[in-house]
Amino acid sequence: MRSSVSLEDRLGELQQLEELPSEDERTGTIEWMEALSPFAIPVESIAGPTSIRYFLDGSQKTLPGYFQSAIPILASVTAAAVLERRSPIDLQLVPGMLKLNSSWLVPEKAESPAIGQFVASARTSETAIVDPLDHLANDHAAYRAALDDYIGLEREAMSASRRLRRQGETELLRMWSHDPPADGSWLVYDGALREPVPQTVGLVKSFNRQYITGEYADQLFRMPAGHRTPMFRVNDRRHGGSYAVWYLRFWDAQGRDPRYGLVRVEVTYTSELPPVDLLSAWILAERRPRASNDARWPTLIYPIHYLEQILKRYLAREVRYWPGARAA
Amino acid sequence: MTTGDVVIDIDMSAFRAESPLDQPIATFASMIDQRHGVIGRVVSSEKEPAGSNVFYFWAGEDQLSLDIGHIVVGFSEEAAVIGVVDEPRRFSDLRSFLDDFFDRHLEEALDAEPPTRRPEILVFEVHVLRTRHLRQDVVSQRPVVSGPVYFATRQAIDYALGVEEFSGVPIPALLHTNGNAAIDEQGDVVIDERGNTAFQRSPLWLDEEYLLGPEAGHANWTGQSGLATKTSHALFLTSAVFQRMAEHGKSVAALLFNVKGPDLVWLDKSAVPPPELTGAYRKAGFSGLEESDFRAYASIGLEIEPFENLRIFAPFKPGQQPGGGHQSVVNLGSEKYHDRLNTLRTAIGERDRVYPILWSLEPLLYMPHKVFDRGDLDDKMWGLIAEFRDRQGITSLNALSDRIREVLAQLDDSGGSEWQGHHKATILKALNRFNGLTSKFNGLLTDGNVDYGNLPRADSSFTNQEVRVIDIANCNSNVQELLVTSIIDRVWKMAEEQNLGVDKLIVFVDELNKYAPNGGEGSLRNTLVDIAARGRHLNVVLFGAQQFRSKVDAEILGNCGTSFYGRVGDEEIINASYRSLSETTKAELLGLPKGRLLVRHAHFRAPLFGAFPRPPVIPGMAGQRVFNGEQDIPVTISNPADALYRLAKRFPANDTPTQGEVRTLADGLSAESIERICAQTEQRMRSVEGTSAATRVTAWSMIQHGIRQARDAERFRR
Repeated sequence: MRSSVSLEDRLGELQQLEELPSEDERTGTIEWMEALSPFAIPVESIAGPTSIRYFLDGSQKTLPGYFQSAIPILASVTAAAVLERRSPIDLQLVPGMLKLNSSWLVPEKAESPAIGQFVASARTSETAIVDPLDHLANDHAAYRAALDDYIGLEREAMSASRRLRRQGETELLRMWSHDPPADGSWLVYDGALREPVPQTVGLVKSFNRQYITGEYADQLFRMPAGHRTPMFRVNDRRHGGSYAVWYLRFWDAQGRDPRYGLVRVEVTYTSELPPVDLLSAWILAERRPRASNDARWPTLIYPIHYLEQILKRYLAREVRYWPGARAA
Repeated sequence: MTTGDVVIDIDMSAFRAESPLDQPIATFASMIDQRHGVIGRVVSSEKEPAGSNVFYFWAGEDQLSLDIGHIVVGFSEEAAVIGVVDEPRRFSDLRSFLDDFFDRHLEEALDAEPPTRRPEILVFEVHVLRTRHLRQDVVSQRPVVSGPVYFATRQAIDYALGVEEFSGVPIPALLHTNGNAAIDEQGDVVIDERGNTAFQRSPLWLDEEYLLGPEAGHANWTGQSGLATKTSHALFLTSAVFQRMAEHGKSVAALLFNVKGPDLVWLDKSAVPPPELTGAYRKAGFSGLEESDFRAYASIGLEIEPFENLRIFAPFKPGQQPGGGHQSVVNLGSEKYHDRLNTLRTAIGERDRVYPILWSLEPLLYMPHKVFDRGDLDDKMWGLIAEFRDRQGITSLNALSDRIREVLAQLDDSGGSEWQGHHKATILKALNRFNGLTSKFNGLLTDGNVDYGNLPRADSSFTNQEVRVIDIANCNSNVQELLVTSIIDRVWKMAEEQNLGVDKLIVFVDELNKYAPNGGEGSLRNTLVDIAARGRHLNVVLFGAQQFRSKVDAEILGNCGTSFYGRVGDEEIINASYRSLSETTKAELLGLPKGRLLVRHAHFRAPLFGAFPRPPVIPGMAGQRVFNGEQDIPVTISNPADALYRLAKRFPANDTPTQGEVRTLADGLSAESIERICAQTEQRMRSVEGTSAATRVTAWSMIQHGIRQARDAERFRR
């Protein structure tokens, strides 16, 4: 029995590029909510428990299933879950807050009898089908052109898989927002917030979108470890909602890329200002222990790493005996 | 692959129904402690795969009682795999120590705790003891598969030890403690006297046929001296052997050499003081057994019984052996020897078990290599000794001295220089060396011949349940070596002649490295090697002990079916003798507490740790204080008349009296008179043993007769 490498493992670098948000997602201008001097605000170092108790993340695997002519048919397996930290040594998945999704990624509109048979067969067996070129559904020529690009189709499939993973995450965030814990505990979501959620911090590890420009960008890049920027407001025109956002430096970047150890923190904007100093201190405390087995450790907090490990094992179990690509 | 969105409630029981291990787990339910539950899961990796002999499992975080030495059960596809927990290792995902250092570097206090602690798992290595297949006729060696691990029940431990396949009587050697709770007959968790949960304890059984022969045999103890473990455990095991053998109608005896103080001279005194001696025991520094000891004896099914049938043999104190002057025959039976014997058991009323050892020259003539220095023993000397022994019939120093003087006078008269081919100078040298023997073997050797009468002898046949102690603690090293060698040689001959008197004889030799050193030579070493090689077939087994296993003859150790290890020093443990032990086991041995041992036995695939209760007899030093009247404890605490009672019991008959009857009848009689009655009665009883008179005479009737005579004599003296 053959196993097969997932696209995420094979195309990891491309995946990073895909993290780029759409240009129109958020406004290009920001609104400062705090004084700009000093620009680098020291964050108080705290030890011990914080009010951050829950962590949400997702993971995905996109695997080659079949191929018809030059058209790949891939499978997407995604998992998203909420982890609860009951004590520093007791981290458990929250019951009912684990979402798994398995779907075939098939360009349904390809004019191929084999593809059609596959889709029909999948539907008969009530298997979920997702068209990775769905966004080109109204542009027949572009759709046809995309079918001739095997590599491009793989990328599209991986993006579709990522959307499925985000759907899972978003659904969990909604479940959370419907019933947030009464004790005031916070949840850290690994990524940018896409809709307003109470008591939730979005933690963005990548630096793909630069909100701060000009002289402040220079100060941001020189910001020492354990400091944050002033808070600013960002509006999301696509999904709606406003967010209070600031940057936080986890580790000293001296001698390294200026973005090293820099994370973006997002909180849903409300009339009441978020406890930015307290949240910064809590998040800063979360950089230890270091997730040093993950190359992204300078911007990764350990509970998210912990959750990723669990989810990856769920996915690994699902696809343990995946046979690899076969002719359809 | 199932597809579509699935929201999963995390309930592991949902997966259990599909487990391929359901069948073995259900079949072997009695072997796993399901009440305690799963303690961990088997892990197997590319670097450290599970094998037939070793597997690994990670322990649940709440399994705080799990530790090295515990016995656990994992499963292969169709079998339960029972193993003993060895090395624990705690893993985290930290790549290097430096990562943790830099985490805190310059920023955090060392005691500051992060909100999340890096997860760590505790992985235990397990050495497989035994595997039980679903089918009785299949011997499985298949490794465990990933799955749950449980604590082993007593039943599983017995199976792992091979108890059901023992061909001989199971003998409890140690008590194993597991990490799961002990359950009483009502199914409740046992709570100890401190209010804590008591842990499950199981005897570690030895197969009699592999301890005492004929399948395998011999036992060896090693460990640092001063921790009171080797001798204590040897006594405990001997007691276990005696009790188990008696239950199965087999006879057994033990021969011990007391080489240090009063260590082995009070083996007939219980570790549990009779009520009237509780204070004396305490004053002697021995508080008796503890509650845990009583529990331990109860759980292994042994009684706390001293060795009732104890006999101690000792040579005389230097210069006090009888036969001075020119006495041709020393009649020991009529000697008052007790005051003069070189033993620490001297209290009147307690020394009725002590008998003399006295030698004439005769036995020495058969072992000149043990008697004379190597430099003196040339061919000429050998020849002359053979002449005196074989052709002249010399058996005593007096006779030898007389004969040599005659020969010398003869040569002087004739002016010759040779007698029977032996040069006069050799004869003179022999005279000189023989004259020095009395002082060399002072206390043991007498000038004349020796007649033991009806006294028991140190090298005679054994009686069932007899413990025979040769007390050489206070003798010089010449006497010690000679006695050990000659008695063991004699016992070995008795075994070869099938004249031991018992089914099995245990010979306990402490300081084995002295008598059978590694790479050494000598007749005792050869005899001990011979016993180790052939003894199990001739019903003699060697219980040897030493501080340094590496210094003992490899052949003896190689023939030992059972080995016990106490605390071992770091200089010793690096020797090849310990190479079969794992590094964790060696590290454990470096700090092993008193009362705990590691055992290897022919039936065990891996060595096991266990504890043992204090022996059933009072420690020698405490016994000396309590029963020998030392350290301000009056000797009168024991009644001299009890010696008469013990004697009557040794020769049981219909009229055997109670202790009270004996005490009443002998009340007021002097200790000396009682001692004399004892000696006379015993000799008389021994003289009629095996004759028709034995049916007409009882020990008690003779004792009564002796008491009447003694009263008359004492009255007459007054």
